[in-house]
Amino acid sequence: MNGQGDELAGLVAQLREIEDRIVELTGGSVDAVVDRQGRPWLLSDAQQELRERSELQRRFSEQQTALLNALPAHIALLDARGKIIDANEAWRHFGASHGMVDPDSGVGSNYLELCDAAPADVVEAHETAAGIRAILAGEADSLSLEYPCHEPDRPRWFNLVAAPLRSHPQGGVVVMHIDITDRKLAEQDLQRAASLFRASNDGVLITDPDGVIRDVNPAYTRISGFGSEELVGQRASVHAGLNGPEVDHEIEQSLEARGHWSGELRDRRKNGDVYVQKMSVSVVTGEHGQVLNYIIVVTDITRIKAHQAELDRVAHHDALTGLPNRRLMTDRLEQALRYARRHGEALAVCYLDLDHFKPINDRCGHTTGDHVLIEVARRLEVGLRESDTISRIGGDEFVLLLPGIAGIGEVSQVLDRLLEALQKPLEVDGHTVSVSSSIGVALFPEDGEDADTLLRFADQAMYSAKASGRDRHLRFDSRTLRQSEARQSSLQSILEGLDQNQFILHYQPKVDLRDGSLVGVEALVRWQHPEHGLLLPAEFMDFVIGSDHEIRFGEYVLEMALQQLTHWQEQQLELQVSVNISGNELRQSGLAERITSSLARHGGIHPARLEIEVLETTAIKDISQVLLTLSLCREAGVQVSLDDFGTGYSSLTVFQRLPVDTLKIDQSFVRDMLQDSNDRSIVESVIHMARAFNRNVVAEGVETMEHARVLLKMGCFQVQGYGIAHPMEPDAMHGWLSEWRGRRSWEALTPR
Amino acid sequence: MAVMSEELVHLRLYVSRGSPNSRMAMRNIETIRQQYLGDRCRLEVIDLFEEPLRALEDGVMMTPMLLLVSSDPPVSIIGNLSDPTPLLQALEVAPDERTG
Repeated sequence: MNGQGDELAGLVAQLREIEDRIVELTGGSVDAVVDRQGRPWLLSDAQQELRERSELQRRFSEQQTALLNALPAHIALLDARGKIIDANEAWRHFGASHGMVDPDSGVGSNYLELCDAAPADVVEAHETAAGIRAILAGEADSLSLEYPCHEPDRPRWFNLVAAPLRSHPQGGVVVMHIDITDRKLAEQDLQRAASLFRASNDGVLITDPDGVIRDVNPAYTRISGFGSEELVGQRASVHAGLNGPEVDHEIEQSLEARGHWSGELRDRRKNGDVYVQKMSVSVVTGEHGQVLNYIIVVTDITRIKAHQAELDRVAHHDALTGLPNRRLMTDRLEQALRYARRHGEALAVCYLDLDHFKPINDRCGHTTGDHVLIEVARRLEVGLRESDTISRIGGDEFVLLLPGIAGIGEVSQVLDRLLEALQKPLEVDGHTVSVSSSIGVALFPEDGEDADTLLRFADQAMYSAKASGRDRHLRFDSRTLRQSEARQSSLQSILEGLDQNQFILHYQPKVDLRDGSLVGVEALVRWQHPEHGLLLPAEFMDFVIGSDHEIRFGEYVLEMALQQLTHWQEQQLELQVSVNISGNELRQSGLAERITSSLARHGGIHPARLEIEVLETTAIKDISQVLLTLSLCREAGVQVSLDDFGTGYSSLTVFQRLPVDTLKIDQSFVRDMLQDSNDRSIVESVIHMARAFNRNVVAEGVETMEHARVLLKMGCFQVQGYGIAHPMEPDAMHGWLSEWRGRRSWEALTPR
Repeated sequence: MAVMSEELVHLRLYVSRGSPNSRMAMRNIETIRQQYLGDRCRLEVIDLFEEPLRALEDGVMMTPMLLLVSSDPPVSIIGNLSDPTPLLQALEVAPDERTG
């Protein structure tokens, strides 16, 4: 073996020498040689180089694999027929976690066939197969499509990318599935934000940290009238001219302190119109608290503001005349008083009420009445200064505030002129109407110091003006106040009297002179006052009439009378009771119904047992309403008597229409007829008239039997008066009746 | 383009693919071709170890070796062509006539 070994070693050395010689001869520029049989021999340098290169390639391949496995994308290599020849770990892991049985997750299976096998509605699978085939056929360079692959608990999206595998000699495709869920979610967020930004009705401005506008939405361009190209790049700032520099400062401070500001600002549209906007500014900050953007949201509240202003106007003005209403007037008065106090000025408060306005409404209708009020308002405006306040505070009531006046003299002059202007006839809806007015004046500071007092005093002065004949102005007088206070306190004690049943009825008999029979009694109210004793109507009825309690008082009287009537009926005393009805009761609708229901409550009283007495003077006022009420009463069976006849100067035509059963001749004529021939002729005429119109007639004021005798002679049979009986308590009636009957004085009146 | 014969030049390069001189020769012949011959050159690259019989036929005794097939008689240049002169002389192209 040793000999062979030596020979081999010699050959190797020879070989080495030959190789070195070839390298030497060729300058090292050859790699291989060929023997005469064509057998190639690679030189050792080239062999060494190749070994090193393959080692490099192996390492490179390992690095590539590691790199592919480190990628989160699911990557697979397909061969030219679509077979999966390799896949990275992400691919395998995804396959395993999605139920692939094959531990190699499809490596070896045909990806194109897998795609083809997907249901027809999985569009992406078929698009993928078509796209990969196009790449393999050299018809396309790449494929990219996004598809959802949602999991039960969260949405997921992938981007499939395929590209030709150029390094592979037989061709092929690399397929990647990249998870783009985060990007998709972010995109959706952005889309939502963007559509909110675009679709919002509120204007939105986005600025950079320096306040330079970077984006505006369509709503803002709509509100402002500026196009986005006119706004982007400009500095956003509130208009100092409209809002004042302090607003900029305020916003800045608030943003710094709270990261937010909101408030109302005025701004100008492109066309110059001023609008009101509700603005809120927010800061968007980055991770380190640095300002990234300012978001300005703007709502156009011009219309809301205008609506509020309109509501405000409506709340403070009278709808009919457009004048300030009571509320606004009170505000202005307070304001004027503050000013007057500060500057030591005088101020007049005037309460104006139209005279006899209600009849205009009644006669011509409310529309005409409204037109009159509008015209009055206009005349007041014309007649007064700009600085004066004219307000309508009720139906036909106005309050005038005259600030800065020199004294009552100046006020008088103004009001004289005003009354004159107001009085001029006005043509309304074809009617010629003239209204006068009554004005009460109270002066600050002489008459009162505060708004309430001044208004109250002016109101009282106005009533005094009315009472003293209307069509005038009158300054408040402290004596008026005392009267009014007395009136108020009297009314108060009357109410207490009603509550405590201090009012009683006395009854005055009416007799028939022909046979002395008792035909009826007139109920007359008395006040059994706890301190002042028994009071006659003259001492308290004035307070009742015209007060809010007049109707209640009337009801009270009627109720007492009916109770008494029932009581007498039970005692077999058959007579008729007359009850006086006041003008206001009469004019108030529903009197007939009230009487009817009162009668019904006292079941068993025949309606004819009740007579209502109405003053002639009141009956002929508001004649239409009175006619209606009286007719209704008579239809109900109640008797109607016209009291104090002869004092009201009613015309024959009116008299003829009045539905009354009885005329009562006023006691003043009867009392004086024995001395006064005029009175006597009046009495005679009334008796004749009653006979002519077929009405019953009763004479009041029969103080002596001589009166009775004359009346009897004239043909008036029924009489009432002190000569027959004084009004008496109901319990005295039986006693009087037997005394009267025993007297038999009527028998002496007629010769038998 | 150099002024030279309008005939098609046919070159055949025998290499041992992957070996350093062969790779250098491939790079060099490609450069020379682009600079002097353009598209009027047909170049074949043949791996000695893949087609040894063809090498035998062409009388190739070592690689890299370039054969100017179109010249008569055929010229062969051994080496990695890092010196282009012998080839340019064989092609009758002066080095200073090259254009970029």
